[in-house]
Amino acid sequence: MLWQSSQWLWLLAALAIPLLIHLLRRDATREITFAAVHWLQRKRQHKKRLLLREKWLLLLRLLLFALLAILLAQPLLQRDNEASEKVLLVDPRIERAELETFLGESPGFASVLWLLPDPMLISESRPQAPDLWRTLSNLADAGEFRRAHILLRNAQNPSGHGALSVSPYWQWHALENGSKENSSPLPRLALLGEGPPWLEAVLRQLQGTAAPQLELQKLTAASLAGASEQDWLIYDTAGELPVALQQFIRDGGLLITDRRVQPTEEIQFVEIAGGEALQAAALGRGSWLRYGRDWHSADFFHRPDLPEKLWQQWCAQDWALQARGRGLWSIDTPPGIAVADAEVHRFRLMPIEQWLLLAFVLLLALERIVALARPAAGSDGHD
Amino acid sequence: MKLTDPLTLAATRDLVWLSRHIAEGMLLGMQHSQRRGAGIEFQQYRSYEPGDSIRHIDWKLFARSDRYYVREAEQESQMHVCIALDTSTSMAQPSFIHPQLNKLQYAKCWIATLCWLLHRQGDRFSLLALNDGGTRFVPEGQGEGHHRRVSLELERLQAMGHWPGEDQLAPLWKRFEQRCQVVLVSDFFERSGEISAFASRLHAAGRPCLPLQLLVEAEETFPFDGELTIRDPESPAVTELSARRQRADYLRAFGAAQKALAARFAAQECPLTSVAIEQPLEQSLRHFVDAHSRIG
Repeated sequence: MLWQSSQWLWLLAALAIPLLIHLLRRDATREITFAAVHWLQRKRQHKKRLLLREKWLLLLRLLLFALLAILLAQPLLQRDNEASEKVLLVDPRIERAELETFLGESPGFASVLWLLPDPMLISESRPQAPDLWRTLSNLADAGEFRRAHILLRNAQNPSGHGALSVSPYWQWHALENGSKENSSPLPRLALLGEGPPWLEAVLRQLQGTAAPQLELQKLTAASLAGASEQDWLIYDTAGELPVALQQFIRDGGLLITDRRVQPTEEIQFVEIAGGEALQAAALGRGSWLRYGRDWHSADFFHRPDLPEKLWQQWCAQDWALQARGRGLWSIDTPPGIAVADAEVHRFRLMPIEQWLLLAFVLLLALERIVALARPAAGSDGHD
Repeated sequence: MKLTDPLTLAATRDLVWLSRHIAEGMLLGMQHSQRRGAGIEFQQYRSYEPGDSIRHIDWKLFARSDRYYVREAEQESQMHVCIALDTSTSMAQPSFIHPQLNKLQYAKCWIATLCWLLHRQGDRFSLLALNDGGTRFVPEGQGEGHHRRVSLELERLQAMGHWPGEDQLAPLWKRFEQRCQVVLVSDFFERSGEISAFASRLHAAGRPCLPLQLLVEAEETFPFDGELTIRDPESPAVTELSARRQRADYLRAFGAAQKALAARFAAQECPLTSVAIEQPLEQSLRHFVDAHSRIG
């Protein structure tokens, strides 16, 4: 038996209350003067000291207290769950029409649920898209979904922190196979705002070399930035970092700014060795690269070796390797640790409060009936 | 007829008045005149009616008045009723329904009422209160004054001690040398048949002993529940028991004892009247009188 709030189980100690009351009441025997006692003395009583009067009432009261404690502790009943192959878990990012199409193509699912840490029926309204990585890890050891079909929007999805647990029996589906953007190994670079003056010079110089060419995408608003569309974002507006850009970092992007951009919250920057006043901070899945001074200043701009130095480093990167190492996983080869059969929770936890409540009310009524039906202990036994 | 309720019996301070009240209530509608007939004490003349014996005609008066008159005298009752009341401690047993009323109080009211009835029919009566602490005796007498005497004596009685022993009873027997009827009022809870022995001896002496047994309802039904500590009024012993378990045994033993007692008195041709003190007094008195129609 599992308890949702087991701290209430100490209330079981209250079982001592009715027991004590009954034990105390037992001592309070009634004293009467009875002239016909002669006919009572024929048979001597073998008196039991621990005789409990009204055992039924006591039992009922003990049960009532126990039930109260159990009710508050909220027990969870384990129910056996057969792993069904007819379950479809649907990524909440998928539109309903797309889902209908998919179901039309591959019928035969007994139940279709939203892919959530606690899956809901598809008839419920569409929930917020959860962190796919974490959701899958949560569901990996649920016996119910051990052999479920999982329908994702994209075949390739960003990885998360920690290890992904998966069920080896999951069957994967995706609406869009492959990824068009990810064919290029080069990072997708975007610029928000005007951009620093050195950037143009750098790009111009790069065009004359054999190094991989940069394509600079120009964004007009911070809300357009997204980790799935861009990999690097150069931001050059003094002031606080917009929320949309913070989300961009957390989703796995790399933000490049200079000193004038301030974080809204306390962020621990780490100095990168090399004497270039470079700072980096990890935020969520991405990171923030910050130049420690103002890159509009003359001593930054008037360095003849700067573009050269930058592009030497640019060219030295093995972009293909990095693209492969970019945190993405594909449904064709799901990463992570397969959860062994032994670790699967074969049971589902079911709340049984309503039954307990019903039993409690019935017992309470029964206790009242029994207690009121018995003659009052202090009366003369007539009324 | 409105019956007297137990609380009135328990609360009364004036036995004389209460007993007269109850008795008169019982006598309502009965012939209100005293019996008259042949006797020594002259009471009245009345005109001759067919059927009267010619022997009773006063011829001298006939000579004077030329009418037949019959001489009537107050009929003198030969009956003497001695009321013996057990005043041992067990008679202090209160009712469990009306704790104010106990057996002795009920007995006092009952006896006073009976005495008034006896008085109204011209009988003589005496009172004998018995316990081993001292026997109280009111010698036989007649009339309203005697009824008051008996009532006052009754009011003074208190329950204590046990039924008197043989040696204490011995001087009492001379009281029963004259012809009399004995009304024995007790609960008949006896240790070794001493009360029954007393009654048998009276019976053997040719003095009919009319028994009235006073009970409380709880003694007949044993309505208790749970653990009981029971004190015996006539002994220091204390019994502790569980009422529910004992009830059946008690009722059986008590019923058997009652049956034996009734059989003993039936053998003496004096049926036992058992009365629960929760019962109205008029009713119990009526039962008693009906059972021994010689008095009524």
